[in-house]
Amino acid sequence: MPLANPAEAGHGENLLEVDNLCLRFGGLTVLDAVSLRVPAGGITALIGPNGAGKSSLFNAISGCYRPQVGTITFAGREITRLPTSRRAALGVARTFQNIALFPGLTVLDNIKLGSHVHLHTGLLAAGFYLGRARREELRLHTELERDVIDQLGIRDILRVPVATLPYGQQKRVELARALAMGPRLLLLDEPVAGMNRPDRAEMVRLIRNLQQQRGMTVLLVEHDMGVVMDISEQVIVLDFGRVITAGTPAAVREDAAVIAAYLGTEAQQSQHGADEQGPS
Amino acid sequence: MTDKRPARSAAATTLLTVAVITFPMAGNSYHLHMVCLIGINVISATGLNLLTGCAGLVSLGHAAFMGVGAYGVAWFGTHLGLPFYLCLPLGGLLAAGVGMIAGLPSFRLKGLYLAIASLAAQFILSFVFNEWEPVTGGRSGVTLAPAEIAGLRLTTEREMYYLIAVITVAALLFARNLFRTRVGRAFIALRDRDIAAEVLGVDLRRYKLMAFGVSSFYAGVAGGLMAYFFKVVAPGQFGFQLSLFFLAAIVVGGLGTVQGAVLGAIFMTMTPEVLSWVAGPFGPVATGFLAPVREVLFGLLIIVFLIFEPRGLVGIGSRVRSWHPRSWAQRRSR
Amino acid sequence: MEFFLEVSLVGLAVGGVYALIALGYVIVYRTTRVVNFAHGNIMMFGAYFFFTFATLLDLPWGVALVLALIATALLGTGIERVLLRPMLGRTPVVAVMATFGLVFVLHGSAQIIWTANDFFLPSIFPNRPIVIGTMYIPANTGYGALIALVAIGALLALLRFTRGGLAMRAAASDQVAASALGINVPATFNLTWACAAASAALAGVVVGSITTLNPNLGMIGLSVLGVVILGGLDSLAGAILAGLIVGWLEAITGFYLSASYKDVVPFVVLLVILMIRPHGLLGAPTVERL
Repeated sequence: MPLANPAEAGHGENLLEVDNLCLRFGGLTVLDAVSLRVPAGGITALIGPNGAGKSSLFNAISGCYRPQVGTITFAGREITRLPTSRRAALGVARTFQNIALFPGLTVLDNIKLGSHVHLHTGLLAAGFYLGRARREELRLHTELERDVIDQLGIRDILRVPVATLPYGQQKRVELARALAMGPRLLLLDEPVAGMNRPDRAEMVRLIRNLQQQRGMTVLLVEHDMGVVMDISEQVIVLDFGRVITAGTPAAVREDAAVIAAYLGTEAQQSQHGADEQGPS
Repeated sequence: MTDKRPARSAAATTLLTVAVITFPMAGNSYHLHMVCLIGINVISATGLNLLTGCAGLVSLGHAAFMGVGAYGVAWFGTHLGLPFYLCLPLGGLLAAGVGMIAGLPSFRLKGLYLAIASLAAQFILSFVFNEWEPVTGGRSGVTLAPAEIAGLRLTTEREMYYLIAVITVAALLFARNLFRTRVGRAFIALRDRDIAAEVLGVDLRRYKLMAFGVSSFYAGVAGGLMAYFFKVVAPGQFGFQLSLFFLAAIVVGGLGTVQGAVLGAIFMTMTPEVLSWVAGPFGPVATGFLAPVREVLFGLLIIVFLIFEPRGLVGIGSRVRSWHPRSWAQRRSR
Repeated sequence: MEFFLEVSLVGLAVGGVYALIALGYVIVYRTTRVVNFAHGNIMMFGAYFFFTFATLLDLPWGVALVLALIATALLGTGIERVLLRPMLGRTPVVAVMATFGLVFVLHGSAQIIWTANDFFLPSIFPNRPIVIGTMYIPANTGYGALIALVAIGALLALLRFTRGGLAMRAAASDQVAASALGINVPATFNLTWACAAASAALAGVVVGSITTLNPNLGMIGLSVLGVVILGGLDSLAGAILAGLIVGWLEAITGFYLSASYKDVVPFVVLLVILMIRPHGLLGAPTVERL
């Protein structure tokens, strides 16, 4: 089975290594011995037909699913059994395919929640809101405005309840929240899905900026092949829970197995119609 | 955010402070009695609203935690001879401890199953109140000496009034402040989408326990104040009915907002009084029907609010002023 | 040992009645995803309807019983139509909270209509206790359990073999799919509430015969709610099993410890079971997939 070769990807070190990962729900095998490498500082794309296990892999990396077999190593540390909330502190951030903002919070508070692990205010300090707790909130506010809010151009909507925002802006807020986590690894689940052309171009520019200016490592799931081929340095193809190939965009485009499996299923899918959705 | 708001809120604060301080001069002892009860109920309802309205953990045992605080205060005062200013916070802490133990099932249970687990806590604690005679005095309960601060015995409604007013204001400020910080945000997050919250680094267990702890601390302090106010603690005061009373208060007032708990507690405390003023002139037959009529009315209010105005009295208020409602979480954080 | 068996038998008889009450909760929950906290109070109304027809209007008890079942079923339908229908499509927790409101309304109304006094239901069971060997089961408990068993059998048959029962089960598994198949989901909900209310009425008459009739009769519904959770909210078999277990436990603790332990032991057991099996003994675990 062709694995992502770090040397081939052209970067020194892998930030994320997944080895022989198996995930089952009852009798259903969702991930079948998946192994892959995500080089530090690069953009890696994960593609494959619906139901191939892309989102499940994301869920395993971020800790929502517990795989039965295999290991996940992040920055040299094994995190396979680490509690979900601890992974955030290590620097794993993600967005969700179906946008998981908190409807009870404003845009600003959603973003601030991203910084949760970097804050220290405890219950009592919070309730009295004197000195340190107050300073911490104010400092957080300035930092977020400088590093996240202005970059994403969402200053005008900070006080708005998230539920009233249009789709494209919700996606942007979710990205802002992930950035507020100050992550080393950013997992983006279909970042441009459902977006119109200008929004899509803007999102691509943002992702590229994050990688180039902040040295962030990005792993993204995306169906838009134009975007995938455009921004990623490594493309990993998943089908039926297995990695069928990995390599540079150009190499993957030429790969016979990909064309057969991927386009084959694609054609099959269009026969089934639009309502077919794989488990995400 | 308009510029008028800070000025307006400063004016409102001043007005409210003056009203709170001067009220005892205007009101008679009945008025004071009612306001004291309202204060106690506001504290308790605020606690329940933190747990159920904000963190989304439905509790059917809130009254039992008030009971723990009340019995705790009585026991610390009578058996350990501790002064009042230690008894009250200790009573609150005791309730918080018991509340956190009762909150442990929330690690594994969600939604209705968790609600029923809290119902179990209610019944088990009621049982303890009734049966653990050396501490709780069994069915007849215990009496306690009036609160005493610096040699001043708080025996009358007027003296209790100031104590309760100060604690109520402090409790409300504390609750509001929580929602300016990461603690309050984490509560809302675990209510809205617990899995996403966890991915963002919110330790769900920690915050669930914290919510149970704070909420029961509020209940315990309210229960302790109730003990000092009535100078007697009996198991019948803290039954399941009272838990439902507070649940009704936050539903009617508005789930998840400070103002909601306040409005709900006022509303639920005053409704029976208003009813008896109305029924008074119709003689003893009408007053005989008071209790059941009150119950029916409570029930109908809960139902009507749930169907027509899920945001409660807060929602009605904001509709009247056609002003966008701000939940705790949406408050400006500076 | 002799005592143990006798106490156990009485406990199981009471447990049979619990099972009938528990089934009412489960039927409503399975179809509508609402836990009806007012189920006990609907039961109490059923007992009062029977009392009204049999004692106040002096009808033969058989007629009175049928009329009481019909009246309570209508009450159930009315509640569904007025209270729950407007909440269709909102989160079930809201509807559950509304049933708290219903608890107050029904409890208060009963006091207004029938006062808070204790009444005795006309005896419908033979007066002689049931004697098995040397064991002795009080008549009301014993015959009450028999009635409960028959009612449980009838309910299960109704769910299993009739069109309405099929619709209820279909709506239980998938509301959207059920309506796509031409099942009238609101009508099915209505039917469900009617069935649950009628079964509650029967249970109310049985419980009212064992104890006395007053507006607090419905409180037993809360203990039975513990039974329902113990068995698993969505499991018919679980409700029956847990009903028997709790009835037996109550009798045993009541006999060997003291009567006051009776009310608390089921809840302690409930907590322990829930910590081990968060969805009850036979409830279906929900696999959480994102």
